[in-house]
Amino acid sequence: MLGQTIVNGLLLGGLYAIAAIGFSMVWGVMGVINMAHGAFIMVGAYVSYFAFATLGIDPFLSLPLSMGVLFVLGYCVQRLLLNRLMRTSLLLSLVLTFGLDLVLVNIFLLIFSADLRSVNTFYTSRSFAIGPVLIPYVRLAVFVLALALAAGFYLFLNRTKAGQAILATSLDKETVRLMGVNPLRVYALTAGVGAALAGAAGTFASMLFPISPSMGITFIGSVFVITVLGGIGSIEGAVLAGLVYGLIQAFAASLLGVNFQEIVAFVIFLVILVLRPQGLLGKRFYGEVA
Amino acid sequence: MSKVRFTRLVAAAISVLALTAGARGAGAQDVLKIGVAISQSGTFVREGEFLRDGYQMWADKANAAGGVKIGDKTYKVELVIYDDASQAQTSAKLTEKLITEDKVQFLFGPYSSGIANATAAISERYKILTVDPMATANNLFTRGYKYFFCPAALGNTGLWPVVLLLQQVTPKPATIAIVGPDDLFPNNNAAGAKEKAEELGFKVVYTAKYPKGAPDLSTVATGVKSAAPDVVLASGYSQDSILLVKALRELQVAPKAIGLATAVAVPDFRTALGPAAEGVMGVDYWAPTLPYSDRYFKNSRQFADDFEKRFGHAPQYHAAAGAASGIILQAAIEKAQSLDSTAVRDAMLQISGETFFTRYKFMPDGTNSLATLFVSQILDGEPKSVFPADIAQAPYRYPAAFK
Repeated sequence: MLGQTIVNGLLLGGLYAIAAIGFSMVWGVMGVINMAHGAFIMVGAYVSYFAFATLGIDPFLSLPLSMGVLFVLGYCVQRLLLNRLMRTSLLLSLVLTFGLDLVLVNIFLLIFSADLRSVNTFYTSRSFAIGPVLIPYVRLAVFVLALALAAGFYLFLNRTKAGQAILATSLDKETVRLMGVNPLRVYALTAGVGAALAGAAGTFASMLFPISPSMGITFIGSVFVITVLGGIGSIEGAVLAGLVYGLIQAFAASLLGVNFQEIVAFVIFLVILVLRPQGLLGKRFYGEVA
Repeated sequence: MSKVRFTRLVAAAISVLALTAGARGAGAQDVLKIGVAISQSGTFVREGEFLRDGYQMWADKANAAGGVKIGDKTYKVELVIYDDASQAQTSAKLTEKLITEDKVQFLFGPYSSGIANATAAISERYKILTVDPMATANNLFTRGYKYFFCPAALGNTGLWPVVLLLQQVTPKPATIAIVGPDDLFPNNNAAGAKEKAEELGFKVVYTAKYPKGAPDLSTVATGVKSAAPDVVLASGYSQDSILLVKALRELQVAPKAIGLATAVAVPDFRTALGPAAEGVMGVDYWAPTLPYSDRYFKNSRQFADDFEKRFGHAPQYHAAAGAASGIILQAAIEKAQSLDSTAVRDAMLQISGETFFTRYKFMPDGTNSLATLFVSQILDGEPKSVFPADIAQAPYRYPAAFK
């Protein structure tokens, strides 16, 4: 029971982490709280569902496809819409992304209706046992891939020129201009990569849960908590916070009862906000540039 | 020229004749007025329209068959319909207007218990008999109302047919887990199921309420696994029920039966779960496969076909319940041989029988003691009604042998 609880929490935490990284990054670099992030996850889920249902492509193989589609979507949204708001107030970007969320959800309602859909492969819901603990194959694969993507994204930020430009822009967008970096282009790149990670989370979610156009809303609350818990803009923080969040929920559910899992998670969130407002691994400068 | 004029004249004369003939016909035949204040806009527009069309379906059938007979008089049914805009207060006002201004003799109720709560108080005050198949909240029937009847099964009985089925199987399962989202309707279902299960000698070994909209239920599945019940009952909606069945399968929890308060006949359910849906049971109010019959419909299939012909789309259970309410009211009126509300109310308590929707025998509190929900099970990929036996399309599979 204890082992199973830990496994449940950790495996789900991996998905939470990948769902939160893009959101956290966009917030950290641009100061934009992307209310459409949940809808991006939903779009990613439908890309994989569509590829599976009509073309028979395994969801693990459609991962690059959903990431690509979402990269383009995120990039275009930033380039065409959000960049125009970057010099105005944060509030406007909230309104715009909230509106975008409504538009996306309703477009998908029109196309796919509110029916619940699901990706059912031959390995769906299968699991193997280690002693008394059962580990579902798909959840384990999702966990490993999510951590690999997070690590890859971390390396991208720290080892590539584009990544360095993103980090530098998040520190000081005025100075980077002097270094030959165009902040608006960096913003678009950041938004694109953030959306691509949301797309990956969507693909993973489609393998684990029934999907519907309104599914994003079940993620956005958790994503928000994990971002603040981990420290805004911090990749390693989001991963750590995702796993912690998953474990907290699992233990609260097994020790106190299932309907306590969210209460406990949010209480701990509040405690961290009071005691350590920069989050577990947040650095002071992140998120302060907006 | 003159030819055209002559034709016009003849046409006019014919239409005048037809009009007066119509008027005379109506004069000769008395009218039975039934009031309907129902949602045709607002939140419940969809459900309200289905229910209204169900009432109308009965009125059409009754009129086509000559009307409602009392002695040697026949009464043509006329529905007086107003839109309550899904507002309880509006519905209550309209109900009063129907009674005092339109002078309706009877009422058909609105959609949803919340609105009926307001209208029932009015109709009771004027002692006007109301039949409302969509007011299923239990608390409506504990107030001593005498003129308010509900032909459909009440809210807390949503899992009863599964529990009754379990009582029949051999070997009889000993232990049950009941889980569901923390929300009004599922909580009612779960509490009702627990009570019924314990009354019938089952042991409820695990209960859990999870937050509505919880993204993952592996924690619930872990709890169920450690309690190791023979049977898992779930009181929730489609999405969380799908999630639960998936999570149980992942953790290799294989109870002998899984029973849901949601209809497994909903196509989403099978497509979302695929092979994992096999053997899962669910409860349903109505399906076109029900074999019950009455004076207008030889079975539910015929109702579904007639309804689709009349309204251009397939009926939902609201419509079926509406039409059945009319058939029951007509039976009571003809039994009473009177349009007096109190006489018909007394007749309601005496009659029993069946409509294509349900069997009926009313209790003094206005509930239908024979109201039937039924159990469907996914067998070889198709939902089949399996319980009660008299309407079963196929024998149930127990244990369900989940893999």
